[in-house]
Amino acid sequence: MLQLLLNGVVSGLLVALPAIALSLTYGVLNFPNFAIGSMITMGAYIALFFNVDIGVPLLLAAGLGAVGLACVALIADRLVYRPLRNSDHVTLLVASMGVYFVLENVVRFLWGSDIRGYDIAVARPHRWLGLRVNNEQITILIVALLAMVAVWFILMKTPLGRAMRAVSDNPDLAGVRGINRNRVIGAVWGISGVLAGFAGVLVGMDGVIDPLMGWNYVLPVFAAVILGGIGNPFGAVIGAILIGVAEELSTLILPTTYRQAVAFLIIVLVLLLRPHGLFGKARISR
Amino acid sequence: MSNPILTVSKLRAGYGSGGDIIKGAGFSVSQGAISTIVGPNGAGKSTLIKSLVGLLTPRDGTITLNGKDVTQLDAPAKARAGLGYVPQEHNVFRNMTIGENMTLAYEFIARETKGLKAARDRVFDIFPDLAHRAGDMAGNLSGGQRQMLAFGCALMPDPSLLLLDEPSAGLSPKYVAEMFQAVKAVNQAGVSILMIEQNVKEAMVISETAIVLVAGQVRAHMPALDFLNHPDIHALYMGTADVAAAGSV
Ligand SMILES: Nc1ncnc2c1ncn2[C@@H]1O[C@H](COP(=O)(O)OP(=O)(O)OP(=O)(O)O)[C@@H](O)[C@H]1O
Ligand SMILES: [Mg+2]
Repeated sequence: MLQLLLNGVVSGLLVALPAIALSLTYGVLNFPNFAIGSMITMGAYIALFFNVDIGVPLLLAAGLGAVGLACVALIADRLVYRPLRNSDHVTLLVASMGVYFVLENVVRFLWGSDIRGYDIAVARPHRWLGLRVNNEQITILIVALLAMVAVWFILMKTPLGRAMRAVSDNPDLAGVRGINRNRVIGAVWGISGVLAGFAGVLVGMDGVIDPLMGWNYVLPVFAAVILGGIGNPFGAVIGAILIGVAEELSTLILPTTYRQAVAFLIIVLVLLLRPHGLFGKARISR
Repeated sequence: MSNPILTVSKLRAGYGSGGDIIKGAGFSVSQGAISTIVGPNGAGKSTLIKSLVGLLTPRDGTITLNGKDVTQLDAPAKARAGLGYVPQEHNVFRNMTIGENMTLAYEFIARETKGLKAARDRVFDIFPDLAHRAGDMAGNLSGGQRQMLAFGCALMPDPSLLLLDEPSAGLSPKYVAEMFQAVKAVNQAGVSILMIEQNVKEAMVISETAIVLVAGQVRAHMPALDFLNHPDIHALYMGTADVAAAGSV
């Protein structure tokens, strides 16, 4: 039971990073970025390229993957989202689905469809208080926590963070206050690219790397964001952990093949019972 | 009459693909003056001010601020050119504290932080209530306090011209008096002011000039005293009085 809880928290943290990214872009751009799934995939592959094909250590490769994906996000903004800036959110959602498939197929084209893995030593799991913890889980825990603290710091304590909260709350008033919306949007794409990039590497370490790896995360990530209150990145973290734990605990009563259904069920329940998520509308974009 | 700080001529503006709401409006605001725009609901007063601050791009005409043509600048650039603006509603960031609202109002326009503390102290002098509550969420303020905060934020970067959209709307009488006092105090400190007001008499008492806007056009532009003493002030305000008799400036 405790073991399941631990596994659930860790897999929830895997969901948390892209959930923060989704939540940030939603807050500032006002549409759900469906492409988050293939951004995870692409981040994993860029890091794979540096780690396996070039041979740099995984930590550095992960950083390069994150930076590379930030660039990809900025290019997508420039080519796709910026010309559609004043379109309604359905148009933008559909555009992001297009970006999803383009990115996934770029991955297939560049790296093929085979299952791959990072160049890391396989170590025995540690035992601690009767729990089994492997190195990947410890890495996920550390990286996810660091990323969350960094996002919290940027959002709550820096001029950029104030500008991000301002644009997400009231774009007109933000403009009057001297804030250039396109620059803030660029920064948000950069940050969400970095988060999705790290998430991709962590997912790749935890399991395998293939062009569909990000697809499996679309549902849990959306569920986490909806559960935490759309546009509220801190709520998304809580939502992600709850999803991870719920998925893990569901294996007690359901066959593991139904894991994915848990996220879907949570989306439906939240939308029916608490459409503003656990943390309500009042806290959106805080 | 001294040099105008703001000159608007033949301005046309509207929303999206809709027709013109502002239909060739022209007027000016003297350096150091308080000018007040009045007019019936839906006349386009808020729309006029939105096009002055860059939230709506003018379709035609010119806006000159301090002798510079600023017609096509966007809102951030207009703010940096010295234009302050307090919107009629949604005028503070509700999910930020009072202190954060004030910092934000300064940092992206001044583009430095050295003068932040001095600016904040200056605003606290005018609105002492804000100083005691700097850590409170702006979303929890009462209507009057929120209006004070919005006004204070607009003052943070030390604008040369301040545009106020119905600063006294929805305030209790106590706050209305306080608000007009604050407007006057800010003006005496050297900030020119262009405001929209429905509390016409109170506004005209502190104003130099009245601008009557009806159906997107300036129907009269006259000294505030003449407006107050006009025999048919109501007809004047509604734009139905004979403008020649009212004596436009
Ligand atoms: N965002 C908008 N999109 C489209 N039309 C708008 C918008 N805002 C205002 N209008 C229209 O523009 C016209 C003028 O509105 P505006 O708010 O400028 O009037 P106003 O003189 O400020 O009125 P009030 O005294 O009620 O504040 C109205 O017909 C209104 O319906
Ligand atoms: Mg109005």
